[in-house]
Amino acid sequence: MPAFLDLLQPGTIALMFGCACLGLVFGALPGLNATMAVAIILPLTFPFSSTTGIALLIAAYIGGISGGLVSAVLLRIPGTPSSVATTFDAYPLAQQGHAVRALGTGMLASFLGGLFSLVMLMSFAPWLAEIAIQLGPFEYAALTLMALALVGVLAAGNMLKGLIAAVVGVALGLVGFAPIDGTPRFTFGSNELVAGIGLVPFLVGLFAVSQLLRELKAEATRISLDLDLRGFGVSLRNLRDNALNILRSAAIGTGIGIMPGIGGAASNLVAYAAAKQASRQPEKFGKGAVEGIWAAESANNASVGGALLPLLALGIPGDGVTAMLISGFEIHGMQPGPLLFQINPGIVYTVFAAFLITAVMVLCVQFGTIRIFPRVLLVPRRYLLPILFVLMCVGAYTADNRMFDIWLMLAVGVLGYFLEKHRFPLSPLVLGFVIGPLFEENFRRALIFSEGDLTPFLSSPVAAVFLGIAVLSLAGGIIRERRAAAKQR
Amino acid sequence: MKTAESTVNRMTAVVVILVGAGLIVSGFRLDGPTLIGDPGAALLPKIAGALLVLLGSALFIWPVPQSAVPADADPAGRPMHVVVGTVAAAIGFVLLFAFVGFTIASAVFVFAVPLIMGARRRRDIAAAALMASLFTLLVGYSLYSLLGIPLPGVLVG
Repeated sequence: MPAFLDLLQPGTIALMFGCACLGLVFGALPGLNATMAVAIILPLTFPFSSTTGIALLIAAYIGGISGGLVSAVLLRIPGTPSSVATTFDAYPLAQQGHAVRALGTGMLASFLGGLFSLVMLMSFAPWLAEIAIQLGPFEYAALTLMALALVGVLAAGNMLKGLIAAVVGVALGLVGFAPIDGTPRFTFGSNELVAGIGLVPFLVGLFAVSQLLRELKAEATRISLDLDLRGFGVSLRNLRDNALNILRSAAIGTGIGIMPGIGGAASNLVAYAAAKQASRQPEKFGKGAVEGIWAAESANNASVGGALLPLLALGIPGDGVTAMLISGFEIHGMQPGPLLFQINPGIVYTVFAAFLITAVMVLCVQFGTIRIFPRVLLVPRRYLLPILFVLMCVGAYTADNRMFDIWLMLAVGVLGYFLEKHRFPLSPLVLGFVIGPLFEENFRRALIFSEGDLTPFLSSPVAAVFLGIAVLSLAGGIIRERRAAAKQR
Repeated sequence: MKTAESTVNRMTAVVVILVGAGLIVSGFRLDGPTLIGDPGAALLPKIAGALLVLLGSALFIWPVPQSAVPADADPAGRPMHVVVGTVAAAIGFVLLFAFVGFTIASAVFVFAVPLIMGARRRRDIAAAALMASLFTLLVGYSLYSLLGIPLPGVLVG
């Protein structure tokens, strides 16, 4: 309750509103996304208290995920990867003259999916954190190894490239002082690299600058909108008829959001497929079926809560955005993980409260601007791109007040552009960068405790289970790839 | 298409193998551990290096994974001179930011890029000038004066 009341200060609400709107705009504009919104907001939270700073990041995150709906409905362009499945039915429905119904359905679905995952988060995060406190360095090392393996194996489309990306991320995380003994590694004589590669310029460069480069190369498309919209288009009967669909989709979204490296991009597609299979009229999917919109949008917002669960309880990010939230916590002197619940429980409840307030805020903003927001899509890119680039440079600079970080951001941006161009997924890269140091610290600490003996990794049931999952997921991934290759031949 | 992708993947694989080999060599040059049981700071570079060599070799041998989801076609769009000009302007902005600070660098950059990207009509040029002024003033004031973020060269704040 105190966390909730803290956030209800007028100034904080106003700032959260601004960040949620920024997130909505970023989510709505094709080529921009929630990750970029959080990347830009992240360094701007420095001057604020930890409560406000974290709340602003959560607001931008949820706004960004929710915002992908508008361009998906009106232009058949998913604003974010989380809204791909939304286009399958929302656009045809809009073309049939029911744009408001499509928008209204998606907005309400996002809200309900988010609420479901918030309940799951509030219910399970403290319990998971309590269990996690009892885990030692062996268990943590095995857990981080499992997360790395899952991230690489579950990378969309190409396991081999996903694993390479994860290991490259681990390698980039080696720059700077090693944990435990502080040995400088790969600094190449540079004072700036002694502290390692900064997380803020790294993430902003990898996701935001690389995307700007893609947008720069893409031909400017002329967008025309039909803004003759009336009412909100959602009935209680429709909501009641889709209750099971919403629950199932939200559960899928939450479950997939928990898995490191996947997130909303996969959850909306899986939920859509499940809804189609369960539907009495599957032939209507793809032609404007409202069930499809309920499924896709419930799942993608539910994945937000899912991704926050391992972040808060274990200190392990569920996706690229939550990896950035780690930086947000660190900026304010906190470390997400099980001890957060003991040392700073207030901030955990701040996350819950910010989630709830933002979900309600975003729903109200979306319904209130159902006829206004679509106009943002008409801003020409030639004005938008330089503004975004300046904001990114300012963000990278303010992390440590160094020009070096801007150059680093640009270099990482070029790397990210070429990696994506050649189909190397970026999520495993960033998760390898974040999780690699965690793995090394825990692994080395574990071996110091056991004086070099590796058997506790197998004799500890929890560690053995995590390692088993890592091995099975790798094996399963290889089998899956070979079967797909054989099928294509 | 597959041949081109195979070639690119093989070239990428070579780079990955070289990076992996470099990590392994660097790992052997690091100081050894000082604590009993500690494998030392050299362990993870060697493991990462070995994995990169292994995975890079696999990518070289199987350069076009059959299960790969077809990628979206690379958006072929703006003329190369526009792309190069904008990138050059971006680098110029960063250099200008370092020497004269936020306000002048941002105003010049936000005004220049729309022109490089094709704004020719008086209305578009005026819009670029207005956008540059408003953005620079608003963001500079908000970040420097309101939020206390130490940006260099903020002229209005």
